[in-house]
Amino acid sequence: MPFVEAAIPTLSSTVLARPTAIAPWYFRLLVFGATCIPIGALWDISWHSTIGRDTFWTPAHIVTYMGGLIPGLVCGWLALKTHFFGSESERAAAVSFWGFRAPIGAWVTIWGAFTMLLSAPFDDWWHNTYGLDVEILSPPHSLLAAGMFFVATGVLLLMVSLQNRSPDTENHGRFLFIFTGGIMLLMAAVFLTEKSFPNQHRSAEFYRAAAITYPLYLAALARASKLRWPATIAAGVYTGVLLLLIWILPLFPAEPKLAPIYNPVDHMVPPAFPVLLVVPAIGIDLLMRFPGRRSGWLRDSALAVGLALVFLALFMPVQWWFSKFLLSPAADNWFFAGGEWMPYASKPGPWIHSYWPTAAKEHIVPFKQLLWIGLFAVISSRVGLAFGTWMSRVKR
Amino acid sequence: MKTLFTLAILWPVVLLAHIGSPNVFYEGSAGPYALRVIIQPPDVIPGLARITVRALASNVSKISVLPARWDTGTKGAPSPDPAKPVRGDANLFAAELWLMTGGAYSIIVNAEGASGTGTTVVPINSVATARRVMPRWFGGLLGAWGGALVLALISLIGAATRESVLSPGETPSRGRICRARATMVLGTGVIGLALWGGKVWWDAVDRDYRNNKLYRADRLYAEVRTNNSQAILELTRNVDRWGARPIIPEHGKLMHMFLVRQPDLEAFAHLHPVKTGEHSFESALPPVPAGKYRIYADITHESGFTQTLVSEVSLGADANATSFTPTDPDDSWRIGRINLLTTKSAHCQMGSR
Repeated sequence: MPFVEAAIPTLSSTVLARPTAIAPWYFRLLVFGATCIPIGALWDISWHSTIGRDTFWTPAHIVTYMGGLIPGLVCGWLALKTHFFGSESERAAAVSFWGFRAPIGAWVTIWGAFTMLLSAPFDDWWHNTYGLDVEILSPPHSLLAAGMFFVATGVLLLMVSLQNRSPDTENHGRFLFIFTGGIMLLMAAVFLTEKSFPNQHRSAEFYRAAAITYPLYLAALARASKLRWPATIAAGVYTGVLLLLIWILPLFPAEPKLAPIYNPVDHMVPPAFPVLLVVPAIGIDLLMRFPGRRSGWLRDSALAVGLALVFLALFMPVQWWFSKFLLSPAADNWFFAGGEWMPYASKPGPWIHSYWPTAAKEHIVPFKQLLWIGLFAVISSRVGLAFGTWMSRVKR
Repeated sequence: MKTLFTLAILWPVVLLAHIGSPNVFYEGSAGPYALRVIIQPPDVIPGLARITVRALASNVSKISVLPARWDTGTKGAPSPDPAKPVRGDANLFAAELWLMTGGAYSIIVNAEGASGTGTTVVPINSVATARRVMPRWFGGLLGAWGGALVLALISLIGAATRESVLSPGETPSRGRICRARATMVLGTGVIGLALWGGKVWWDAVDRDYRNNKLYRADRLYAEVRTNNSQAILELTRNVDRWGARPIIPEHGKLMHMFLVRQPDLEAFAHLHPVKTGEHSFESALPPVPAGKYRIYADITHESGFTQTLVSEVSLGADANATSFTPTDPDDSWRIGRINLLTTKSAHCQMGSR
């Protein structure tokens, strides 16, 4: 039966006294694999925006498959090694799952890899039934996204358990943990792509999506990490990887291979400029200095309100006015990639440099919507703190 | 789906398709080269069109194809795709093209050979016509796999709560085990909610596909009235989303209508109703015998999109009027057994029986 707790091996005192926290060689491989996921996804979006036509074996798809395969295979090996060939200390530092023992992060990653595999035949049937989907969000793509999320979460848990087992005087796993957290922030941003173009940065819909998503990640990382600026570093990782893609992708010539072509691009279309998450992340890191890593139900609920207020107070005005610059001709260059994100199938027009919806007389967020955005930010922060508290204690 | 029954061949070009078969058959010239082109349009959009080109003489060395949508033309088309020669037949070439949107397309076929280059254009409709259901075995496989993943996830939630925060070698307390079970119950609820949300989303996509994307020809309603002993067939078109664009003439006529008696096919008429209102037409009925008739009405929209509208009408003895003035000078009819689906049948003379 899957829910019966297996016997947990106890450790002898000499084993317990031995230090256990040094990053194994395959941890960097796991982080590399997790990094492949959003890079492959963003490259694939660029491919579909530029060339349109693809096959199962495009380079972008291969990078995404590597993102699932490498962590999946490494964690599968880790699970087999721990259960069948592990030392007493290795098996004791694992959790029990259906009678087998391995670190919790390994199980989560394996689950994510199998979910990514399941999404493939489902997605193929979906295309044959409803037509090739040209959106990011569809039920099979959401299943794939869930698989990717769990693959990366498993890697995150392996890194954080290494950090938590390390003495405070050593920093094993700290940077790997926060780097992986930044990669997961990037994955979340990819999922929000269709709601996050600069033209949408004066709409309630964009801020609602941002409030539901970003505080959760930033709060969780800020609570769980032992670094001084965890949310800021994670936001920096998100920004840095996205900027690299914005600058590198257009260097490659390409042309659309599908009709109708309304925008005849001649190079790979880059993603839109990243949202300035670094700014609210700094505020979150500063606020988190006060409670530190202490938690409690009431304390964290109050803290969640504070985190939500800090996030919105910094994020909204910064993004509100920065988007005006991004929509101006001054941003039409290789650095900011102004309107360069437009795919081949979009008709050029004044709408590219306007706020959406263009029919609205003025772009403001109504007060009632602002209240909802605030509520979502509080809930997101609270869930993030709960998750972060748990992660700060994970040792297996 | 469309059907075109050609009875008069005035041009060396034939385009044929049939109701029930969406494929397009084209035989004509691309410059100096005689070609036969068969296009299997995709049945879901976006989807792949399969194109087969047969050179009717052994003088073609290369074939390339490209899709051009009606509103973008070749300017909005990609560079041509080469059609690959089919092994074992030097005159046969095959290609696939993605049609990304619904509407009227032209498949441009370029031929190259010893006599230079030539181009021809084959119009096709790009519409979703398939309504597929997931095969049971496949649904079962996905369900079993998904079910295993759900069970696994619930177990993982329990394992994470029960043991992940313990120091190596520590055993979970009774309180921790209870908390793990409670978390698993809560997790089951959350997973159930997510699955229900996924089902609602899938149902919405399916409903949108059925109501808005699946092609439905305009409905055609037919009625007969008598005007001074002349039977008049009135047609009214109930316009669906595909028929919103204005109609343009094809060979000089806004509508080509075919009346075929059922089930014996003993009477046939090719008429050209005139427009009497925004969506209505009428035509004088020739002296055909009483009976039940199927109506096939071909129209072409401004975008090049074509439709065959289908209806039925019962004609009584009044239809066989003693006086008949045709609505259009090219109207024709025939009484007696006819051969359908002929590419070069004799042109029916007005008044012939």
